[in-house]
Amino acid sequence: MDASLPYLASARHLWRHPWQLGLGVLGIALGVAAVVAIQTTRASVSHAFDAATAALAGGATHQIIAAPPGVDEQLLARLRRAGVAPRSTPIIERTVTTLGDAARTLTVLGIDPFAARGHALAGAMPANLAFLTRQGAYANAATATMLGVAPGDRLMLGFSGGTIALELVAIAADTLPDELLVVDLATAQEAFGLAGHLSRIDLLLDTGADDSAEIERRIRALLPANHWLVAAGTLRATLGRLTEAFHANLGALGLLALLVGLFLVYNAQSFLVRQRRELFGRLRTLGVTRAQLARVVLFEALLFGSGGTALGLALGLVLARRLLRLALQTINDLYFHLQVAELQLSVPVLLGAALLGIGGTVLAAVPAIVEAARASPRQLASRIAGERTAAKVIRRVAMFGALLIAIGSATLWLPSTSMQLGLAALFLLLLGGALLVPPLVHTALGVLQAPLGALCGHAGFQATRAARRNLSRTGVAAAALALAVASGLGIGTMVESFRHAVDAWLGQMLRADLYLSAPGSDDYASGGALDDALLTALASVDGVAGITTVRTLTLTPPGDVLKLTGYELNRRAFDGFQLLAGDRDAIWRRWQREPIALASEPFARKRRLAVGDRINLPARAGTLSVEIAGIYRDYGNGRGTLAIDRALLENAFGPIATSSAGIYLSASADLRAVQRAIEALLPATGLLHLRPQQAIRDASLQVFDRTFLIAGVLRDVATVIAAIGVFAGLLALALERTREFATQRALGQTRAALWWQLMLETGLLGLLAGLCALPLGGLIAIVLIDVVNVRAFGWTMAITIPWPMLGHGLLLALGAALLAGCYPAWRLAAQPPAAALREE
Amino acid sequence: MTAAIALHRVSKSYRNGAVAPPVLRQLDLEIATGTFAVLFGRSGSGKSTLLNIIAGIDPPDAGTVRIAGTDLGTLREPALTLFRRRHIGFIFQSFNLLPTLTVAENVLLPLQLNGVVRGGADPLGARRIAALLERLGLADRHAAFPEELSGGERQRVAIARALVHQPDVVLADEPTGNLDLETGRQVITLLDDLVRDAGVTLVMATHSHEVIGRADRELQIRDGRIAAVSR
Repeated sequence: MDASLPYLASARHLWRHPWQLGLGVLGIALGVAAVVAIQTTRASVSHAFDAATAALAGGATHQIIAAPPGVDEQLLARLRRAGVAPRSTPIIERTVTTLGDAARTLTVLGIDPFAARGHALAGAMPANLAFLTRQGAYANAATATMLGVAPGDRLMLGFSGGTIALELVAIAADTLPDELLVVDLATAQEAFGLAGHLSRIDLLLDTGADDSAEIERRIRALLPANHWLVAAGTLRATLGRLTEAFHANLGALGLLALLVGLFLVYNAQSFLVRQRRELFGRLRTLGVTRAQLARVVLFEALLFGSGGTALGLALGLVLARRLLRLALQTINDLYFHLQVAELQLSVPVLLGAALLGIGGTVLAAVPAIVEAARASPRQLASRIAGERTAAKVIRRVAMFGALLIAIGSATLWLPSTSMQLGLAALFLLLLGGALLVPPLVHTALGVLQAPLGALCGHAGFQATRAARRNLSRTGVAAAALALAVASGLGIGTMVESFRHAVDAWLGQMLRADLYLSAPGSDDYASGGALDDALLTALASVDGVAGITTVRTLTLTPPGDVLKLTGYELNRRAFDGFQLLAGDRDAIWRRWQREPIALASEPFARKRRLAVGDRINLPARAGTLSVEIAGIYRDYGNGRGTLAIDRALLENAFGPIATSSAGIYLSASADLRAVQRAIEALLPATGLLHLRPQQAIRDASLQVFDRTFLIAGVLRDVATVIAAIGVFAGLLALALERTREFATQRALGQTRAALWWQLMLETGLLGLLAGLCALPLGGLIAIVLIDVVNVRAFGWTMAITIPWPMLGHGLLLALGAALLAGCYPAWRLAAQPPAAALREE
Repeated sequence: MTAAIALHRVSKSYRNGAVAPPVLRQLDLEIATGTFAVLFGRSGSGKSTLLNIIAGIDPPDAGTVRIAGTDLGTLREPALTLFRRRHIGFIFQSFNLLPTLTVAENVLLPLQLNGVVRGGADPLGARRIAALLERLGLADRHAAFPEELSGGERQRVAIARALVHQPDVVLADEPTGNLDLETGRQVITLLDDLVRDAGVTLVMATHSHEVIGRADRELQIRDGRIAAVSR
């Protein structure tokens, strides 16, 4: 058994310095919190997605899906007659929105209640089948409350093809998913203009049976052209993959917070060890062995790590709650509707974070243990020897940092499109860059010593000297501060460049003066909203020079999601395409004559398509083969879009509802007058939105800003973490130097002079960390823009240097360091020198 | 009879930039068991270095050091540490008490490290410490922390800590350097009495002529060697 007194001596030292202990534990906690928050958010989003997929699949094992306009209704009867799918449920699924300003998105599911027996959704069905009446619907209590309706109330909902009026006839069991309305299949077919067609057929096959492969083969044999048998949830799983890019970006941002957190954990722990160097030296002189000392330090690291981790887990979950709201908002803005999710506690995430907190703290103690073990008791007791050792370590760390940067750079040059590899390279570059901060600050302080001495006298000389000498204690905090500021700059530069690029793209893309749009993105026509009669009426409004239209259609062959956009264009609108490849005039000449398409940059990049390549699309009958004539810039859709002529689209897929129209005004027209005239033509449902170009642009940028709110939050978290780290570092250092400053005060140094010297010292540290952050931030921005975003979303953009942000970054670093130095400086200057000198 | 301390051709230098001026040059020394020896010489002459080498906390560049018949050069960590904790007691000019342990705990530490007692409440350890503190006039200060003590009291605690585990050799590095004349005299008297009663070998580095006068052997260090040996 170990002697207990070395543990007691060490513990009492920490107990007597509660600030250092508290800040050290807080540093560990914040590092853990950053990781828990981000990973829990990711896990919760994934869980919400999986739950939604499972709920709507209703326990089916397989699904039959088809190219537009959908699954042939007759197929169901054929399957049943053949006896291959006795448990099959025909389904229609559509996204709708409530009308009004605060529009909510819901899912309408059309089912056949008699065929649906055995389907999980049928379990939640009310006992009376009153909803079978025309336009009857049921929902669970939460959804009814959310919509503000009770049984008997009517609901008006919009979709891209028009409006649908439903009556809530019953409240279903709570097992029915939220934000879902279930209607009779016939009602859905009629309302959505899908007579004779289905969204899918859900099948419950006995996958464990010996003849399951044979059954599947027989089902496939019965399928008409462009119908596919897929495992249940394949479509939503494919949609789910779309969010992987978002997850990857969240991961990249989380990486920055993690790295800052790691530095802070290291900083906190190494400080707690270093400040007791002399104590350890005395213990060694008295006969405490290296192994005994190592056990004392390790035991403490385990205690701090556990305490900090427990606090960090709690903090992280609080932060995750906020991040989850932001993440869901982003997903709903960019991808698809995902209902509000509960925070999902993932055991692997929590264990991983605990491992990081406790393991990281123990690992951070290792260098100090090694140093304590290697050094002789005489060296341990000597502060100068400690600084010499630290100087050697700083040199080694610099070399290691340079090596990491070289490996990271080499990784970036590898011919790969892997996101993970890109993130790994970013991690290496950041870690390498951060490790270079202490030696760079050390060198800069050496250079500044003479000029600052000449400029500020004794205080300048003393400040540079002390800052340099104490870098073994403050170097890690400086690196963490530089990293946090660099993260802010890097993310800020990426967002600013992106915003700039999106703004420029919108400016070029939005050529019309007014835009009229229907809700939803794609659907088949049902004779609803933006119909031909309305478009003809629009064209005859006084002041309207021309109209272009857009129709969109999403194809979901197994394992893929293809978004097709059918344009009815004039030359002015066509010139809105910002071509990255292809000859503009040649494409325009062929546009309405040949089966050609423009691929958006993400579309082309993800499918590795170049100008001249062909792509085959599953059409209503057979295949539509189009040639990629050009590639255009598009930040609107991460999954990519294929733009073709309207006639080509409708010839292949049948009539499709117009989702939006661009209205071009004559030069002399008054925008407001034309807008009023058009508004008078619109149906009173309030479903169609008429907006001027600028409003669309503003709304798009608003969505953009909301999307990157999460990036801003993570950046702020990293900065706060680093500021606390610097504060902890400087405070601990100040406490260590109590005697030194007491001696200076005893020798006649005034409080003001001492205060000035300390603020100069901390300010220098902050300023130099800030200067180091500039190139590091640039590096982060380049990797995020040119690697992470290209690999995740497939879009490129020019880098815009946000000059004011660079200034803010420097001020932030300086401010954080000065703020962090205030309390220690006040404390030291205020302490009576006699008391400090008396201390053992 | 085996010498308590035997140094043969011991050399030591400390690198200072490009140069490494020698501190000890092929120094030979033997001190018999139970002897009170004083080391004196000018500041920087190598007194503290010699004590550190005898204690095994600083290895010589060359030569052999034998303490109670054991060649320290043959010991590696942690054997050297274990040897030191068992056979050596150390008294420093600046006391080097553990500021976070009480007087009793500071004195208890060597006993606990040597496995003589297991915990703070061990009756054997408590008795031994109480007796020692009583003799050193610290009976009523056992629960105080070092910062609550005067310089003389701190050094008496350091003496108790150096002797409590009954080492073969006690090394004292200018133990009166931080004390006034009267307190210093009292401390040396106590130390001398305790060491002689226990038959322990004491080597003390000092500048005090009064202390030198009390010693059995006077060793002057000059130019890295023992220049004068009396008695």
